[in-house]
Amino acid sequence: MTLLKVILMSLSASLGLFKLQVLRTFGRETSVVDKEVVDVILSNESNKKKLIDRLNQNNNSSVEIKIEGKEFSFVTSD
Amino acid sequence: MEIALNSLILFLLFIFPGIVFRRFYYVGEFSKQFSSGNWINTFYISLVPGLIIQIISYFTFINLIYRKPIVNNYELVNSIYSELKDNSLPKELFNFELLTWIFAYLIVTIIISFIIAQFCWLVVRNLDWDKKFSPLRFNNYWHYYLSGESLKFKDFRGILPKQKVLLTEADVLVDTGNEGTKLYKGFLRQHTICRSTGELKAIYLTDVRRYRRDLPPNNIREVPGHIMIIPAEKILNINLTYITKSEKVINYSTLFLAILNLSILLFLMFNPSKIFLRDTTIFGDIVGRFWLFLGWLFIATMLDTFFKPKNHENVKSLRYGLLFFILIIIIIIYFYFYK
Repeated sequence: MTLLKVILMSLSASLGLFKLQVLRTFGRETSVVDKEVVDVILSNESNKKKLIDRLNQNNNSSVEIKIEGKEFSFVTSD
Repeated sequence: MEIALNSLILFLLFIFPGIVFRRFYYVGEFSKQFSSGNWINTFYISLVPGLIIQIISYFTFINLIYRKPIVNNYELVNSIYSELKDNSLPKELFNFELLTWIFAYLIVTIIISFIIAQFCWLVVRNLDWDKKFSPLRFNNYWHYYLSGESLKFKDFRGILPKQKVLLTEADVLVDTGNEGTKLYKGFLRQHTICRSTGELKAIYLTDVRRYRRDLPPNNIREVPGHIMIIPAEKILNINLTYITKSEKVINYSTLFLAILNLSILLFLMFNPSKIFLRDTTIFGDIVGRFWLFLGWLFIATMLDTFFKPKNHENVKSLRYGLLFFILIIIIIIYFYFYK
């Protein structure tokens, strides 16, 4: 049973690596929005509100952020 | 309708590979450039890549597939050429074996066009050559501005140095006819351009807010709805704010590993001097390459467990499993091709 699990794990890891390479080679990002931003900020209501509030108050044209896991923070300050 | 046979052959040999190249070079956000302009223009533009691809295809075909000189029978070649020149179908072509080889040659040409187009696209986009050198720039210039890639243009360099644009917020001044103008603000999610001219047709905003003539903080009001589509003819101007993150320097070790990976894979598939696959048939050649590919995939995964152990769970067991598969493939190749 353990042997089967190890074999399946190896197959899964190898195919995962192959899939990653194929996506990197043939994947076409047609959006003007970064995928990480969609996942972390635009799909998360509280993160989105945090960014919108900042942009509504923003008097400076540059807004730099830092994404860590599922959270983000602002790097620059007004 | 009379068809000029010699023109058709010239089209198949020199223009068609160029058209395939253009189809796979103009992809994603730049796909509309393939069908922009008229057909005469497309023919002329396709001629240069078509000629280059034809030369590469010829050498690939005789060295890797046909494996014998293609022009050893000068009488046959001359006869086919003379008949084509007179616009008649050469009877020598009505030979099943020859037709099969011609068909195989066309397939090779299409595959090579695809590979070269992909390679050129990857190099131009990943090394930012389209931003650094204007002749390589794609026609959809709106993409460069709306995605923030324009910051890498020589004219805009220094605005946000060493920053990667993640998201763009647009302040759009819209002409509302008799009501005057309204200023909307939202995240720019998509845009459409005209196929023939490349001009902006519409922009698509989400999380839209509207400016009011009140004092802050009451001067911004949320606009209900999910997506706002603003036609370009109603837009008076757009002010873009880029949300950025610090850009990483090029990871040379990753780049080196990617090139090494591709080189080893090409070496295995080329199988020079029959190093790996010996004394075999065409079927064995194909199956053998499949085993080599699979073997290299397991070896690459094994190397990945050493370079990036954090990407994998239970690394020790995984290595044993991979070693098991690598040994099995070595045994298969040994008994099938060496015994």
